[in-house]
Amino acid sequence: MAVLLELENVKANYGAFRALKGVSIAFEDGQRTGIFGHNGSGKSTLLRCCVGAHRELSGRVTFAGNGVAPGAVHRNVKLGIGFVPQGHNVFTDLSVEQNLRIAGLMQENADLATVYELFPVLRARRRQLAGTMSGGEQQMIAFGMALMTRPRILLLDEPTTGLAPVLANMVLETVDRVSKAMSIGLVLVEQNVPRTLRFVDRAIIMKMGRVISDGPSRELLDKRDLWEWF
Amino acid sequence: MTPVIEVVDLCKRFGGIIVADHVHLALGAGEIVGLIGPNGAGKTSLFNLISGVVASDAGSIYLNGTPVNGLPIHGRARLGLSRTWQTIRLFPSLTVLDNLLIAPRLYAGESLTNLVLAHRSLGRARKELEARAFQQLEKVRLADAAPRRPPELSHGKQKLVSLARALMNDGNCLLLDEPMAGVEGPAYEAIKEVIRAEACAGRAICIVEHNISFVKDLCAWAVFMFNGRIVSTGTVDTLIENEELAELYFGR
Repeated sequence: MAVLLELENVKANYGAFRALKGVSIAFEDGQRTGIFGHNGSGKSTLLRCCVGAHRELSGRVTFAGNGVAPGAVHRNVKLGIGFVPQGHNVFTDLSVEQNLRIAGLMQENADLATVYELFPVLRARRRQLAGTMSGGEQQMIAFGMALMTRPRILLLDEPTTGLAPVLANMVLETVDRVSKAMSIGLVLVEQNVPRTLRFVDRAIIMKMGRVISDGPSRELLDKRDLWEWF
Repeated sequence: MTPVIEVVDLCKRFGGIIVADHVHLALGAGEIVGLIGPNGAGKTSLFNLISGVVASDAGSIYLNGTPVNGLPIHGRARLGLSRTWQTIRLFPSLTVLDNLLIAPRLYAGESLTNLVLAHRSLGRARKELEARAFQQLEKVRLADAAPRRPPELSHGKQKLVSLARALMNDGNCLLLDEPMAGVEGPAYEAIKEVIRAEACAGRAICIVEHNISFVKDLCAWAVFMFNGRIVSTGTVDTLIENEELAELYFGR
């Protein structure tokens, strides 16, 4: 498979603190990757670098041969990089549908109906203010907003944070279904290793700004002692 | 003994959605109670009602026996109520230390007389406050993060700072909204230790959390909420062994 998103020797800083210490990873088109590691290992910073949301970096990030410009998230999203940051990133004072439509402004063919098919609860509550919805429902809006940008690869930073187990499973199953149906690659940062390994082909483990393990997810599945470290 | 927090027949609806349906809850000093249930059950809404973020439609809320329905958020904070949020709500442009320094219940500098006449005592108060802020940061093992700004820290560390900030209010009532969401590794044990120690010191602590083993480790009892109602109360084991509740929560 062709490489879609590539990081070459990426170093990222927050002032004097170095969060990524020379990371090189290539994500192939349609590949589904899980990234694991403790707090502060650099997982979220890695995703932010992939979409150009982090400015203090050296090295190179490319998407389908195009340079991913730090600080130009709007342009990078238009290239086909979807990003759902951690937390509930919705416009709380706007309705569900307004949130989705705003995300769709980036693409002419954005498809509201498809998002509603995937998340019927959003259709039922399309006129409700996003801020009055529960954490799980806001997470669905954020996911729907990312899909409205018609991504080729979707970067999800802990999409199940704050969700009850029944909903966490449902969100991951939906991500799985959508990524397969729409041939969207995934880069999934998650805490729950066993739950996530079921949905990804490749597993990367990070520690203190470096990649310390990278291989097929089934290999990590066998290394119970390693994922229990989390 | 008067409960630290008491909620009596509390009701709230947003249009057709009922988030609190005749809720009764009482917590005593030193108690840690878990609030579990599926998303949308009304757990965070109950915190919003208790802390005054939203007004109730009916029912009463008492803090240490004082009715607080008519009090604004800061009024309830002064009575000793502090909380954390599901999402990070730190001030991103302030340092971690400054985020903590704005959080105590009472400020020596808010009296005009003190400002004009008591410079020295204000200076002392500021130093004491800083020392207390460092104490809270040490509890969550983040003293070295004091001069940094929240966006420079990982999500998990920001959650720890949020907890430390809530502890700056030295009152006896603490509401923790998903303190473990996005937290793993060494921080996990740190948070547990802190919560236990605060309860031993006499705080009443109510925790909304989806990490069931965490709730089980900390809470002697828990309540299960669904559709704005408390549908069951008991030990965590009792609640999750109930087939109906397990179906609602775990989908099995």
